[in-house]
Amino acid sequence: MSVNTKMTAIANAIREKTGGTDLLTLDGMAESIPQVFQAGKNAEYDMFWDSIQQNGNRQDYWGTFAFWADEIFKPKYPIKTNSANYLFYHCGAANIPEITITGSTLINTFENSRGQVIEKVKLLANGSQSFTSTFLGMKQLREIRFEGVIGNNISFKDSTLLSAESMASIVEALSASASGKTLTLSQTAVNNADWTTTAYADWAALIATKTNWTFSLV
Amino acid sequence: MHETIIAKEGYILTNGEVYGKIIHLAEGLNKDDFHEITVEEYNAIQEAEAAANMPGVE
Repeated sequence: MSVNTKMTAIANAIREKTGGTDLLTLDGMAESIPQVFQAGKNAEYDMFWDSIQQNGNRQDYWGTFAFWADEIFKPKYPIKTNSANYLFYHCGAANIPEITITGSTLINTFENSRGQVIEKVKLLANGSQSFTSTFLGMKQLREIRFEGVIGNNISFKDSTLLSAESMASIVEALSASASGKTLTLSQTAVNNADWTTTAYADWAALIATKTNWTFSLV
Repeated sequence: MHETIIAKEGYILTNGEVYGKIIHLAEGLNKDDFHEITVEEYNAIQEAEAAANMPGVE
């Protein structure tokens, strides 16, 4: 086999990994090595998440990311689940992306996870879902946003770093028609909140929007 | 408008379901239904509830 043939074979192998179609000079081959490495990483990423998330079709995520050790958490597909119990139990991910939950219970879903940011929790619009120790022990949580309706007791009592915007998002999601329900927050978080970042003058102005709820500070 | 009740230092207010140092009562709730327990009693209740919620515990 001639050197030229061997070089063509190498170039073909590079193009196969990078998806390129251009002719490659020797310098171009050298410059393509990082792309080949990245292509390998991407293939591993796809294989891992396609398996875990069943090519984006997974619905039952019961306990799936419990005890996830790494701070980095970048799933390939949006998480849309009908079973979110224990989903991020003791999870090490610092940033949890948007998650859509259609199941009736959120039991220990984020308990003792080290998440600092939960980009958005999308709930049902009818407020029927229940929360059991859902956010218990989330001492590092700073930011969370909600979409949908919270219609049952819910607690963030351990989240002393929770921002004013996060608390506003929680209160705004509380059902306007529920009765006998309680939102529990950290007194430290409320005291330290910078309300100028919200549409509310202060804590009192925020909770005045939901007189049908009891607010407990611990 | 919420009625607000505040526990003494070292105590937590509860009606057996809601716990807090400061509680802003929803319309219709009666502050007389709440009483104080010590922080130690509150912590023991919370630990028992957390243990009951561990995976595999029915």
